[in-house]
Amino acid sequence: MDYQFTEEQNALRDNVRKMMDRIATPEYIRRVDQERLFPYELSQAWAEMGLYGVAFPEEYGGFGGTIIDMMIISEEIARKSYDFVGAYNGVLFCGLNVFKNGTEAQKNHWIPKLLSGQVRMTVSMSEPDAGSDTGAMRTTARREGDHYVINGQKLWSSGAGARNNVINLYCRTTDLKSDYRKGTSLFLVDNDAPGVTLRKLDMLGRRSVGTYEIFFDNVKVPADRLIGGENGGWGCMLSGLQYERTVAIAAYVGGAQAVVDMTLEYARERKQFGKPIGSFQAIAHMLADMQTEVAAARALMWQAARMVAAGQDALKEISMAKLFASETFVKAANQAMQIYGAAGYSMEYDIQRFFRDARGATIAGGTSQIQRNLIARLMNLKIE
Amino acid sequence: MDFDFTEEQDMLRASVRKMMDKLATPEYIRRLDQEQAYPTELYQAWVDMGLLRMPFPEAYGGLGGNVLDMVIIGEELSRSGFDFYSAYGGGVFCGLNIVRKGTEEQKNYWIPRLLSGEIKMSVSMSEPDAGSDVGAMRTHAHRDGDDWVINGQKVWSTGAGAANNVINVYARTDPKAHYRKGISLFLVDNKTPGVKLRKLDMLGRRCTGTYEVFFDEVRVPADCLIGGENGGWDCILGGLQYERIASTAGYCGGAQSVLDMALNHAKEREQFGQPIGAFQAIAHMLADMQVDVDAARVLMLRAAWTLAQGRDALREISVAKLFGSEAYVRATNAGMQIMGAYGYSMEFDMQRHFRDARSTTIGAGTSQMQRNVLAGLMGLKVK
Repeated sequence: MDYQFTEEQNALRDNVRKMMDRIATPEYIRRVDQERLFPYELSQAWAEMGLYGVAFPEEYGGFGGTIIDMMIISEEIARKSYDFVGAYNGVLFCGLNVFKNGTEAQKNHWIPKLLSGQVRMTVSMSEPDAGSDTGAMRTTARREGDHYVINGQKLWSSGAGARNNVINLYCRTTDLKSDYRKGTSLFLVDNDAPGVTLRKLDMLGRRSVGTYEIFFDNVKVPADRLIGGENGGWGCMLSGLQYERTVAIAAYVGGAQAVVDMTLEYARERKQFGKPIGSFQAIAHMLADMQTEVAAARALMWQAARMVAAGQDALKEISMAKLFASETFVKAANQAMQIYGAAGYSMEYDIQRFFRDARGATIAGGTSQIQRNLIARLMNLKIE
Repeated sequence: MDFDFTEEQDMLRASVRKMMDKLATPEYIRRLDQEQAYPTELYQAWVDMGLLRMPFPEAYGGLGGNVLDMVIIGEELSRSGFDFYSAYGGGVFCGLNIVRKGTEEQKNYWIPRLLSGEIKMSVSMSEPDAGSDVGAMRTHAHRDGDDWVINGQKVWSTGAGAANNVINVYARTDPKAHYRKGISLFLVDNKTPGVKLRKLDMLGRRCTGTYEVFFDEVRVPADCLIGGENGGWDCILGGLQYERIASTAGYCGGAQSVLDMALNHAKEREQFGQPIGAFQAIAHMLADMQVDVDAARVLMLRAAWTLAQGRDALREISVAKLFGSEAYVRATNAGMQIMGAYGYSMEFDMQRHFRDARSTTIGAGTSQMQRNVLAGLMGLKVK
């Protein structure tokens, strides 16, 4: 049942790894993490290599790749930093949303700009009172002539403040008492549009791509910035969800494997009591457990990916893989810190960054609790 | 079986909590953590309140408190952050070492200065190649006339760089002997010529601070040797049980305050039209956290009580240290999950506990070393 990669896929992995090794050096990653700088150099390199094109057909300038290709890229980027994947995936999935739900004019306008790196895109969905509970969303847009006027506040928006970024904003376009699934719309809003105020939030991890609070105060956007039609937002969100989660899972798996690899190397080199600490059973077995769990996460990931690639509904398989892989990533980083000891706790080593970044994985993109709800419902349980 | 504290102990807890609530405000703690600044104001308040005097005999200006008093202080100081407890415990246990092992002259010289806040004390033991493996220690001291001359390097030294701090440094004095018979304890002012400090950037416990310390031909007079030449190992062992139990009380205090924070959030934060604590998945996480923290606390109190009876409590303390530190880490991990993105934000306190707690299964003997000790006491010869 192993997934067999094609020759092209193996070459893709090699090329992405080489490029990441060249640009995302330990010094580079440490600097952008510490100084909280967006990884523009990487984002430029991804555009030049055509990595954004993997998701789009040739007629829009892409090269029509598959979800497997996207997973390979995501995994390789995450080996350096799970945080960086946010910068890549944002563009990919917002672009796919425009591709699937936009008009021909919208596609021709936006997709080439995304592929060339001229614009970036990020999603804004969560609000102070609407985290897991999307229905509590209160940001609104109302039509005024050939414009929409947006008011409200978004929270925990990854990457929203990067240069030339276009926020893919979900907001209510009907009476707030009506069903949100039929009353939410998707707008593309420039992050420097008048009335948009961004506040960069200080977070424990994922500090390079950045997390923002965004205020919308009478922000006017032309009607052609509406994607998927008025009240079509819920459909837009669902249309990309399976792809998006599957590719995010590849990032957890890539990050977790990187943690295992680093820790294994440390356990072989670090000596105490006259021998490498990895030759003590307590440490060796921790590493064996870590590798077993990452392999299990990977197997769940491929199970889901095969179904998505075949066009099947894979919500249950994706949710199981998301749950398991994100928890595995957190656990691996936690055990790695134990094996590294005080060195792992020091900001001069990379393990603490993985430990901080990983901890967001069971919260963002649907918490572990929300994944369990989804899985249980697909097992025909009615949960209160 | 008596789980009650005395009236005096209840009053001690109430007054420490009141003082910490007043001084260690969320804004104060946040500023110190961000700026990596030493809690000078808190330390002074502990001196003024007489908290430093608590475990010392009356003959040296102390209050003659017992291990249960120290447990109360450990729990209460750590409610704000385990980091603060280490600023307190570091000095107190160095001082107690001097009471046990020092000459009358040394006690009369050092203890009043420590209790009045004129000086602070910290321990330096770990080295780059000697973490859990104390025997690999390479820092050494040799006798030169009336002085000792120290050379070497220490790492992960908590609080070593604080103002007016005297480093309690362990060094080899007989390189040929087994390390248990060849190390000695010296008191070295951190401003002595030849001492170089480098503050390390660490994930947590950023106020008290973690240092690398270099000793380059550092000359100290012979009366800075505590416990006699090659008597260092006894100094380490003498106070170890007491020190570990007070730290374990710190883990318990920190874990309970994390739980209180998560519980408040679960009662206030509404999603899907109800407080998230009304969802069974969240409610049960909180219930499990309370079971975990209570178990840690009962184990800690059992160990403290055993020690207070004057019995050897190595087994009880190792069990409590292992379980308490792991429970603290688990509590912060679950607390962060319950608080979601808010827990991950630096604008809330959960992330600080998450960072600070993570050191507790590593510092003062890793969980792996505690298991080794326990297995040894269970008659297993572990390789």
